[in-house]
Amino acid sequence: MQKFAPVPRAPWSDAVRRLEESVAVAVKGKPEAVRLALTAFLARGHVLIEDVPGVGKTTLAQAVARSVGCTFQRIQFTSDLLPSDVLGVSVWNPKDAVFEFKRGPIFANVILADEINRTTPKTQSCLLEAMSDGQVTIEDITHHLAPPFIVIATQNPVEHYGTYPLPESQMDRFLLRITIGYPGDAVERQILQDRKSQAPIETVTQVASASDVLAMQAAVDDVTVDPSIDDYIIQVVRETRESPLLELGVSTRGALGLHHAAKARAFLDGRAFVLPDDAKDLAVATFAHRVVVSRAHDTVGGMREEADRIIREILERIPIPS
Amino acid sequence: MGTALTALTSPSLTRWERFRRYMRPPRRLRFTREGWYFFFISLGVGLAAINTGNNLLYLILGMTLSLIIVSGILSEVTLRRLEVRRAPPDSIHAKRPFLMGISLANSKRRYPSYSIEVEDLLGDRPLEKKCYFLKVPSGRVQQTSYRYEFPRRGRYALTGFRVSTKFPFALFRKSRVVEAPADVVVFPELVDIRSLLTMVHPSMGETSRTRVGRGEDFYSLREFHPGDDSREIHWKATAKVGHLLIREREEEAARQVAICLFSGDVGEETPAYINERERLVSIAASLVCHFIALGNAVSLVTLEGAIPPAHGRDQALRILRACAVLKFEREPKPFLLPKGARVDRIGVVHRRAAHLLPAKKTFTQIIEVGEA
Amino acid sequence: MRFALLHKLSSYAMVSSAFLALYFSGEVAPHFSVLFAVAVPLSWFWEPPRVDPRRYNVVWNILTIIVLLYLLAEVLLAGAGSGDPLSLGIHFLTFIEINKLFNRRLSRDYLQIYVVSFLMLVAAAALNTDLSFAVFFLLYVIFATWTLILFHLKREMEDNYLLKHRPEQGVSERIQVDRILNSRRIVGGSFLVGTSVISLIVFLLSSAIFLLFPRLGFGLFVSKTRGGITVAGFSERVQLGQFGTIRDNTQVVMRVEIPSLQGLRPLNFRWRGIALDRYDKGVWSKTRSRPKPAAQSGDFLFFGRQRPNIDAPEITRMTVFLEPLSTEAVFFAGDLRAIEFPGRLAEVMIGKRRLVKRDDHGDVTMSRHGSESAHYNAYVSLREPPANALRAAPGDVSTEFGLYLQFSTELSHKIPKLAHELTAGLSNNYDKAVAIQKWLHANFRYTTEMKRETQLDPVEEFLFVRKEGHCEYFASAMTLLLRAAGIPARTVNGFLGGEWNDFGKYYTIRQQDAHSWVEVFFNVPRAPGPDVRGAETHSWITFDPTPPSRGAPRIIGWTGRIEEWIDSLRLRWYKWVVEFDLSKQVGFFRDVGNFFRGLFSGSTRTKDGRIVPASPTPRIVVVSLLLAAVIIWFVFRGRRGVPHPVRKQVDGPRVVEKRRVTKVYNDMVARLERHGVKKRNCHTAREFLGFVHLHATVLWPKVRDVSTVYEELRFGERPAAPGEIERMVAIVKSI
Repeated sequence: MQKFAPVPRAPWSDAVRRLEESVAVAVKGKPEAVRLALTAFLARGHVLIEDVPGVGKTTLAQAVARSVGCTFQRIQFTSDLLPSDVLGVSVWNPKDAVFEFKRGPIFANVILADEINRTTPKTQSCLLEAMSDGQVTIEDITHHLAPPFIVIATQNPVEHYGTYPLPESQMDRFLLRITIGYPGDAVERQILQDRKSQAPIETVTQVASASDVLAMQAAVDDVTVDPSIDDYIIQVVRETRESPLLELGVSTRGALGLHHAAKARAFLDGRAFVLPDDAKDLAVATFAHRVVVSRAHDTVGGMREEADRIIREILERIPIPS
Repeated sequence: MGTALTALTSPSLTRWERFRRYMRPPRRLRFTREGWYFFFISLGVGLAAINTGNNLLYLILGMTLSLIIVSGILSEVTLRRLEVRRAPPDSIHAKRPFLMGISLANSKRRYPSYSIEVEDLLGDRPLEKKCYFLKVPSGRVQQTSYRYEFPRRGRYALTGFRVSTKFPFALFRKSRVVEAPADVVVFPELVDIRSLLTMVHPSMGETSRTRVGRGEDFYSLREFHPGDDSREIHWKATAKVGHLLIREREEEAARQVAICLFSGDVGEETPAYINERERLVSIAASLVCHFIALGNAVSLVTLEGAIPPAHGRDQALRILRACAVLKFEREPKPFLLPKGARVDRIGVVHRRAAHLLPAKKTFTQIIEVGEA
Repeated sequence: MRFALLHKLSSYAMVSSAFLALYFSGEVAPHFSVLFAVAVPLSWFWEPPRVDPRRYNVVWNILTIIVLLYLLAEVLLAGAGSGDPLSLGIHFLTFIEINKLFNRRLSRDYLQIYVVSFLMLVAAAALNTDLSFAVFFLLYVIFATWTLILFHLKREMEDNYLLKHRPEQGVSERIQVDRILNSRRIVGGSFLVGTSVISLIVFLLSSAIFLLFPRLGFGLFVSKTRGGITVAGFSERVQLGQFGTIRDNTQVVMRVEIPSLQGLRPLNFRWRGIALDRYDKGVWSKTRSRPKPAAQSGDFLFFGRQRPNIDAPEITRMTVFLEPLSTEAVFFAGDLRAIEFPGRLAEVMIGKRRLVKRDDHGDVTMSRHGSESAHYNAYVSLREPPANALRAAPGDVSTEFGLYLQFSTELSHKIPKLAHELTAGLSNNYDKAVAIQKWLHANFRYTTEMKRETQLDPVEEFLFVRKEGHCEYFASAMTLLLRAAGIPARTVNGFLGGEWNDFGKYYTIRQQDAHSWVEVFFNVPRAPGPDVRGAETHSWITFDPTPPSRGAPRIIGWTGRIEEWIDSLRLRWYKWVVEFDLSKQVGFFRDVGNFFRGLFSGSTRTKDGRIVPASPTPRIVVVSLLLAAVIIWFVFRGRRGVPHPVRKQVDGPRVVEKRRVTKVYNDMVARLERHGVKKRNCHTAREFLGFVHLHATVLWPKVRDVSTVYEELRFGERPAAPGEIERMVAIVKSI
């Protein structure tokens, strides 16, 4: 068997591998979810986790934050949460007789926005604006959010009681939607039996710094994308727009999102170029929450499985660029 | 998925019947207009050939006959091993067009199927909405949908599909019936009830779709008392005034709404009365949807029985399903009204039966329909 | 190919085939043919959006009326009898087809075009029995199948694809049908292959139905063919000097199958056409005699009182296929005992009674409608009485043969003198005739040049002045000399010889074989045997004074061979299709039964019912055919569509490299397919790798190596290391 020249490894591949392993320590048995979260992180996007309670959403976000030594804040969204609770509030300082702006929890690198569908649209919108703009404006003063900045929002798909699910236009702002799901039996057994005194999250150590993350994000921008892969993405997007089963297809933002996500995925794999596999594997996670399945009577609740299925079927139909 | 349809299992066939079905599957053949012309031309050529003995005419006769034979074989191949499935929407309402997805799967290994027409069968009669597939390659699935509108609420039995093709020469149309029984529950027509609601109530009459919660729009300021929620301090106002002021909240309206539909038959079966009756059901259903969308817990009370209150989409579907199959009774049974102080009762009743409604004063609103 | 274009092309091909089938019948007037040939290509471009046909409706209506009136006038003015409604019909059809082709707009227009083309084909069937019909019929079947399928799909698309549902709005919008019609996705290569297979099946089925459909009718309609070939020399008056001079006319006059004399070369049969008895001033003519109709026995027609025994050993059967000639003569060689018109007997006997006649000169004729081809079995005896018997024949003749001693008074006395000189010392007529023949052979030269130097009678000039001439002169001279010597003789015009066609196993006789010879009367029974009785005690013996040099034989090059082969096809077409009848059908079934019996049991049954071992050839043929079919099936299974090529980009060196790498990868995929591992279009390289790992683990390492390099070079920026691609190719080849 002939040997080929060794694949020139991207300089970051070791660091990336360490990062992945570090996060995976805390979230056992879910390597794909870890990879997706890191993909979004490196692509400067935000993540929406739609999952049942207790599968490790918080742990994942915390693990990511700890691994890169970034600040972590958890915002528990309730129905009476105010925008000021998120962004911050001006507090009267009687000593200096001025209003001081006390920063809200959003001024962190990794934000876990828990149960985002429980809060009023007004509060939702302030978070979403911060996500898209990278800054918040309170009382005419603009405060920038320091990069790296990622919001990991969670939604409970089952509950409808007293919820304000995110409308589709806002869903578009999330780069990826992931589900973690229950661990497999073997892993679950191991989790139960493995309980040391410390929770696994405590064992996560920092393996990279925030500036490393910024550098990695810049390196992601340099990953080459062959034009045929872009054509492939556009073709998939076109199919979603023309499909009779979807009322709303994927927007240009979504196509761009897949482009970036594919680059980040390639980078995560230690490659300097994007393969069609990257785009194909990420397509469902990137697109499924942006499309609207046809309904006659628009009622509450999205049929996620339906969207997944439709997008998978579209992927089956479209030939891979050769 | 698909709460609008429930599938029935088909009866199992004996082996003999299955064998017979495979060997000679039930097909229907109908000549098209061109087919009849072609047939008569062939007949003419045949008669001319036999009569004159001109062998070249026999050649032409051979060509026409073989075209017919090949047509038969190819249309048979086209129709074999096709599977049809429905992809219905979540909910179907009367008088509202919906898209029923139809997916056609060609499970042959080698040959594509061309030019297939699929018609849904409602009780063995076609729905007159044709889905056309130009080409379904082998081993593939294609989807399309047809738009349909049910005129009335109720339960409809879809029996199957008629799959037909005119391939290859459009001389005749060969069709076959695929059994795919399913029940369709058609919910009542939704009407605009906002104009009917008269009471201005914090939970009623909300024109926006947002839920009620702790909004910031309506409030008043009052002095801070120890024990109040310190998050409610309005700092700006406090700075202006000099002492702590707190925002007053509106009371959370966690009220229940009970829709009481008086389903007693009070008239003759004239078209006018039937329309009014249906409008009653429609109004009731629309009210239910409206209040559930607002976040209230809604219950339905009819003469047939009551559905206990609950929130959310599932409850809406439950009530709508009940409304879909609701039958009006001639024998009035007692109307069991829900009790409770925080229950808003809305009565929906035919004008002629209005007097039969008990405890009218307990109703927040009574909506009357129809001629007296 | 784009769908709409393919449909249009196919329709035009179908129409052209039908027209060509009609054209080659020769019945279409030249100006109409030219009109069609010019108008049809023009109509290809005459369609929206370039031109709107609707604007010219009035023009076309007027033209139609004009043409109709013109054709009607033609028919009426041609006079009763020669005006033919069928001719009017086909010309009108041609015009209507042109009209319709210019007014193509809707599906309905196309349908009418197809119906008219079908009618043209039916008309061609009635008018054209030549091999050309076979060719264009086959083409028509193929194109008609294609066209009908495409037309059906096109119409379905137009009917059904106009709607696209939009759930929000209540209205369904029309989508551009043109976009689909112009798409290349609907009809790919596999579709064309499929429809070609279908059309082939249709053609085979047509042939099968043709063979199987029982021929029960009387077949009273006589097939009309092209105008007959003009053959000179067979009318009742023949001017000397015009017959037998055309040495280069290779037009086929007749084809003869003689099963008992396969391939005998050269063939020296003389095909007798007409006998001429009277010579006067350079013109041979025939004295009228009442022809007697033939008698019938079973399928056979014969002359005389008793039915001849056709199974007698001296009887040779010849099957003659006459081209349509301008003469009614029935040609045969030797002494005709019986004649049979297979399959046409009813027509010959019942429709018009006793069309076959023989007159006292021994000429057999068959009345025909106009000029048409004829096909008959002639049962002849080629035996001539031995020379001794002829010598022994009594020299006196009854007066009924005085005709044949006619000697014009205007002829010079030198002829009888010469005759006496030549026959001096000979006692019997036979020797005298032989002497004259020899003398002419030796002393005269054969030439086809026609020079007239004197005002003498042509035969005199030939005998005494020129001493050279062609066969007519030789024959005339001998006849006159014999008559001067008191021996009854007559000139016979016909054809000599024939060319063996190895493909069809028959002899071809052409115009250039036209010949004249002499028949001499001997008062001797023609053939020994019990069936010679009554008046048939006389014999006319053939003598041929013409020297044998008859010009250079035709050179058979490879073009000649092809022409021979086509000619044999023509005969086969005529025999097996145009003249296919009940007896042939029965024979065919018997042969098929024999064939299968030979295949399976190794023996066949011959015509007389004996069982003999069958030749192994059919078995070999069938087995090899099956093998070939299996091989073809395997080849087709292995081939699958090639994935889409890389899109066109600005051709930098990297792009070229990428394409090359892609090609190598695709080659590998194709190879793997042949091993049964199929890559779906939507599989990425890695997914496919996983698939290979599951299903063809043996090949996985190689596939992995190639895939890795492919991925890097195709999607990455790294240029290929030297020799890398070559190594890839090597690995792929080793799979």
